Amino acid sequence: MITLLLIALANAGELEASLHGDVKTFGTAIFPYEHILMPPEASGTSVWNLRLKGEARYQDWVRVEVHHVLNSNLGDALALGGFGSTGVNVVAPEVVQLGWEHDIEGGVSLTGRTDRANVLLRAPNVDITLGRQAVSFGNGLFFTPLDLVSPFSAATIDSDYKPGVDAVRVDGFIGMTGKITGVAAYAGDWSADGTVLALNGQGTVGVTDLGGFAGLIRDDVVLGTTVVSAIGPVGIHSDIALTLPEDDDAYLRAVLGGIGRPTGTTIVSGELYLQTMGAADPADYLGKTLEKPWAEQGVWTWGRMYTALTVTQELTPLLSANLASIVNVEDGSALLLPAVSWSVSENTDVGLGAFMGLGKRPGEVDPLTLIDPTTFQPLPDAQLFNRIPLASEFGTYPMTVFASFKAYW
Amino acid sequence: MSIIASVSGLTRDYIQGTITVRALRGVDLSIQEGDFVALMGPSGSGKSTLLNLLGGLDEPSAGDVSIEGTSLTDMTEAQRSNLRRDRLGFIFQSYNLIPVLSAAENAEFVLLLQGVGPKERRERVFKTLADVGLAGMENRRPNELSGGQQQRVAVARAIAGKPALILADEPTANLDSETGNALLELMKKLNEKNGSTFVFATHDPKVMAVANRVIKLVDGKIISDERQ
Repeated sequence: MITLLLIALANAGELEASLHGDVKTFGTAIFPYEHILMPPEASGTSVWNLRLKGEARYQDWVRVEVHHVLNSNLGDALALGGFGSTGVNVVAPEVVQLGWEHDIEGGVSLTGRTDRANVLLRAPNVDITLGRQAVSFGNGLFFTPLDLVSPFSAATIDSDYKPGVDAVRVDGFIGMTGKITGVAAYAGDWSADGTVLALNGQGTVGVTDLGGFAGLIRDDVVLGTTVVSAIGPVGIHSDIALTLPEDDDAYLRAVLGGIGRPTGTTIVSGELYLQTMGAADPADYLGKTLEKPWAEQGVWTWGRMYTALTVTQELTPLLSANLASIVNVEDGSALLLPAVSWSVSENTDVGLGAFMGLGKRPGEVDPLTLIDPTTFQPLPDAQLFNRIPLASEFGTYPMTVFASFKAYW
Repeated sequence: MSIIASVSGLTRDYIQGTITVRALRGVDLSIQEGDFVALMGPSGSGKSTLLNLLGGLDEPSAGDVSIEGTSLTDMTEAQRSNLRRDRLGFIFQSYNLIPVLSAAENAEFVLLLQGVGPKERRERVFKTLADVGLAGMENRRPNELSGGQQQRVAVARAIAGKPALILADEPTANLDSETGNALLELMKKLNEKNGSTFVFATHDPKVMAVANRVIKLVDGKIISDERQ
């Protein structure tokens, strides 16, 4: 409706308006191993996703952006730390509910959501964006310590669009390369624990972009730095975030990465990542998921030290293959992500891929030990997780394969 | 008759935002062996709170609960858990059966925790299920049983461990009138035959009809305690 209104206004000659969109379909299949954490048998999910993107500009100083997303799911996906999620129907907390849901017979659900609805007002050297929008900070590829508002897991199939959050954003431009961004975002409620306040500044010195970050993220003070530079032909990036919770120990998250093109058809990138609040012992991994960084702030890795490496090889101008690996250095487990992508036409891609967890599987657990002996109900998560000691991080994940089709217009 | 459970000066406060809600206000009570007690009262009167405190599922703000002469206040959580396992039986409104287990396996669960050997477990479970009218249905899972039959499995599970006291929270609330009556008659029969001690928290006037003792609570206080 809003999109049609924008088009009507455009026809009146006052606006430049456009309507774009994309259609995506995904099929995922999960092949679980035998364990109480896993579903009893292999299962599949089919997702159909349509995003309509309307944009209107009035001269140079107003822009309105609206995205409405329709999503249909058939089947249940296994959601273990966001692992294997398609990423196309992720919902952030909303001040105003602009979505709907309809269950159709046969296990099919249909949802709709306005994922972007914002107005950008542009004045000399200042942009103000008000409404539902994507908010993102930092430069990490696999690991994103400064992406503190609804970040994606690296095991997400499609991360084209971050979920829109309800926010006010002010960008101030200083000179040719300086920029200061302030964001106030809703993250669940109006208390300090349910909101995000962030200030990010960046500038350029020679070939190096330097940034500083300060925020009150769900009541935790976060200080950070970003660096993007180049050493010869290799691009370098680093994000560091120091979190100072009011009632817990401070912790550091830091990523250092590089990206280069050793040949004209090959891209190689890698990252080293540290998060000091992670668990050293795999037996403590599941318990970590109940703590604030994981439960509320989107951290998806459970350990402390990681490496990531990805190689993308263009096989033909239309066909490329990608192999990524993420390794938990301390427990030795790894996540392999092989994928191929074929550009069927200028605006159409077909992809195939897998997420393969390698490492020690969790040990056997007697299911009856997970039942409260008085109420005969499952134990509360905190007790439950203590009784399911994991043996490694990525060895916990089942094998997942996916196919995708994406068309843009 | 020996005293199975007693409470003295029992008070329970809940904090709701800035308000303190007093659910129980200094309750004194003794439950004797063989009692079939109905705790009656309107919603919010404190009957479920009292039941939870008797079962060691909650801790009082003040006062004391004793089971067979042992104070729960002085126990660690592990000791309370052992006491619940060995000396108390619980029946819940929504049955709380484990869906992947058969009727026999559900009834056997407490015996497993008590460390009873396999042969004795099997004998006791089959006898208990027969006592509650479920002979021949031992291998059915909860989704293959009616609501009344599921609650009978829950009763079997509660009594299989030979507890000193069985606590039942609205056990007939999810059952139709006829099925509820049959279940009450069953529990009354178990009470008379085995001397099992039952305490119910209930709105159901039918419970009052079969109980030998009716305790009425209003606003966290006992306003009447009558034997009949």
